[in-house]
Amino acid sequence: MTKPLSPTKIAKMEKESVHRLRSIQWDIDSNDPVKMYEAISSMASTEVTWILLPKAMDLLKHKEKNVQHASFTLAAGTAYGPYVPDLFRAMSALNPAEREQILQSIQERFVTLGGPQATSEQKLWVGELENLGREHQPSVFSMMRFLGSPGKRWVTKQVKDNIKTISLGAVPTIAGFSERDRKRLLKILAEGASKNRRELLPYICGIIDAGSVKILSVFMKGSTWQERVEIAGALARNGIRTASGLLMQLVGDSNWQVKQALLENLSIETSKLTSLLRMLSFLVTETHSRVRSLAERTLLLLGQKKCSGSKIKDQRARLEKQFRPQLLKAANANKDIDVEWLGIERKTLDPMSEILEKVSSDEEASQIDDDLAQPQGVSLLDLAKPEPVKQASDPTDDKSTLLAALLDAKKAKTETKPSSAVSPDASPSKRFITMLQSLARKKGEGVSMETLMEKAEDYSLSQEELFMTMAELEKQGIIYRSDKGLVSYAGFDM
Amino acid sequence: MPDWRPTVLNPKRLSFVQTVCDLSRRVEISALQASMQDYFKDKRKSPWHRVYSDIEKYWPSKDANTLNSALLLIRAGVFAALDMLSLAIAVDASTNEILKAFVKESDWQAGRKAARSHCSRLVEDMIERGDLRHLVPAALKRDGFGYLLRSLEKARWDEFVSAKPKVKRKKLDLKGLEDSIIGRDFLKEQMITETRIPEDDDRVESLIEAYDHYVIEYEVSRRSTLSDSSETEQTTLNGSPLEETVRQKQKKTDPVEEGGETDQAELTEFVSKKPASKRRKKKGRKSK
Repeated sequence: MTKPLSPTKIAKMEKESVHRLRSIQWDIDSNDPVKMYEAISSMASTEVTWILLPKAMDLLKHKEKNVQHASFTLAAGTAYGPYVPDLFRAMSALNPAEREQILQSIQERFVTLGGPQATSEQKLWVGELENLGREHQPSVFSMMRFLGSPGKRWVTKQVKDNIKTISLGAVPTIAGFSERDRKRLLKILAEGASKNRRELLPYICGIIDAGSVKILSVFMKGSTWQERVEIAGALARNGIRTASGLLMQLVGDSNWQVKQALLENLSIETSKLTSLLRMLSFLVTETHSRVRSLAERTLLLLGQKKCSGSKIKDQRARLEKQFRPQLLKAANANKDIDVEWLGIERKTLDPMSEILEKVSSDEEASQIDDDLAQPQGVSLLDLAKPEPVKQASDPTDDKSTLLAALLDAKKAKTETKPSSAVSPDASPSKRFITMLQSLARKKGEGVSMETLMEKAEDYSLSQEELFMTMAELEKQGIIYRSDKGLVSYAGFDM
Repeated sequence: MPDWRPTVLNPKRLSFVQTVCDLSRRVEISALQASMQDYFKDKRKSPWHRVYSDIEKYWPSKDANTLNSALLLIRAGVFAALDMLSLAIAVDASTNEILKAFVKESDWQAGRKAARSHCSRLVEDMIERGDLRHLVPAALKRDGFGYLLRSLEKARWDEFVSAKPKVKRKKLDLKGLEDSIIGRDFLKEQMITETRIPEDDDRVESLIEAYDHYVIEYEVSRRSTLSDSSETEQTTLNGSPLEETVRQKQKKTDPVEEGGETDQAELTEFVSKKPASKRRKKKGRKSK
């Protein structure tokens, strides 16, 4: 099938290629700029670029920026052995941004072709890379994973000895290492960071995986609740697979935000049902209603989403056996989740019925009782959710109502009889402002969420309306919420 | 990166060629070197002697494109592994020729030396002929051919001097300068991109003047740097060249080196003398 090639033909082919390359190399130095640029572009696009490496090295100090850049790119993509120190020497003459660009080219090469295999080459690269300035630390760190054990050793040493100088950008690059090395590096990093660089925690949490999440427990000692929220988030994102000590510590945390983070970031698909149920069994008895309702919602979700290594059918059976009351409660609160499997039917949403409920005082009273009995916790996230829908519907109209609300509020203030001044048909934002005005004892003083929720009914604001309006006004900067959860009027002089 | 793989591949027959190409594509020069060293231990595992005959026999003849890339990859790889990538483009010799010189020897050191001295002879001839275009001094120096630099520089200089622009048919002809290495630098400096300038152009006079200046200036600066000794020569503290004691072993493989005392006197003229150059080259690589 194949006809032998003659040696002369092969030699001829080789010669032709060499001649082509020769003319490129010759034209690069041409005094005619047109020829020079043509040569430069064909240098970059030639088949075996690295045969031109010696010439490219010669051009690293070329006055013409384009020539210099093309040569650097070629050299970065192909330099080896004796060319490496020369390349880095030439790089030191560049400005940091350009140098970073060259480093990117090198990295790209490592990614596509793999790093050097010989230990001597690896050592050579490590030696050159470690002499670069700290501004290149992220690139250097991520390149080290291509440099075999010398690279690994170097990163380990940095993490161990120089934790204080590790830049934030360098931490995520550890994720690129192979699983074993990553785990080892993360462990050292976490240990060092928990003592000296606690601000690295969010970055560590960002790259931690299921196998290494336990490492985070070193941060627990003397941690702030914000830190624990990060840890809880990372733990939940990677799936709850064991009811570990760290998990139980977080479940029993004194701060509700920590538990919320645990539930909000939960990745059900990668979790184990048994561990999840154990965690949830604690959280459904939580005193903070927000956490409790989230836990109930999670239970409901477990009827839909498969945990790792279990069947939906079994999940449902276990859930119903253990958590039936919570599930029923959650079914009504979470209308977005399908609950057919529970064998109950939810009340259909009829807009008329809601209005009727509001109008009829008897029903209202019972409704209030119900609401008061189980105050619902809120987070900023909840408030933000319905907001875009409203925004999209009619933003112009909203502005005018807002203005009207402000004017009305002003009027109401002068009348000093705020509550009576509000008619139920006024816009929600207007009613809200009026309420806020009247509840604030002094101008500019905050009103707590609880009070607002209590009084909302007096101003014919449903809970939903209240939150939507609040989110709207907060976004527009009319009101703001202090860290204590107090809602107050932004610096408007009424 | 080029796709060198032929569409119809006889994997078993071409597996070594494939390995070489792959290593070259990834610029794994140390691995190539190791493989070439391995040739002298296990010719079956690293059949460098068969690379080209395998290509002849088994590479599908239709696959001209992939073969082209493969040939270049092998060329670059072989030259780089022998620490003379700087010559891969410069010399006319085919890679097959280099490999033949290499595999004839009995061990890696000798093979490497044989291939290198073969090429260095070619370069010397090139310099003598005035074929200087593709020789990059810095790269030659890096590859341990530093001893060629002085003759190269001299040849470059002669080329420039002989390219003195002359008026031909009412035009100043700059072709010679454009074709000489120093000449194009000179033209670049003068911001001249044409090959011919009409005789009555304002630039003509200043250009010729500048050329003369350049010649003198260059001559002066060259004279002042002439004193430094050969790049690759090693001397002892009292100034005599480092002699055989260090590399007795290698000497045996190269009888020409038994030249003795006369070698030192030849330092300045070694270019034309093959034995001397051979010896020096080896010394240069010794430091490795």
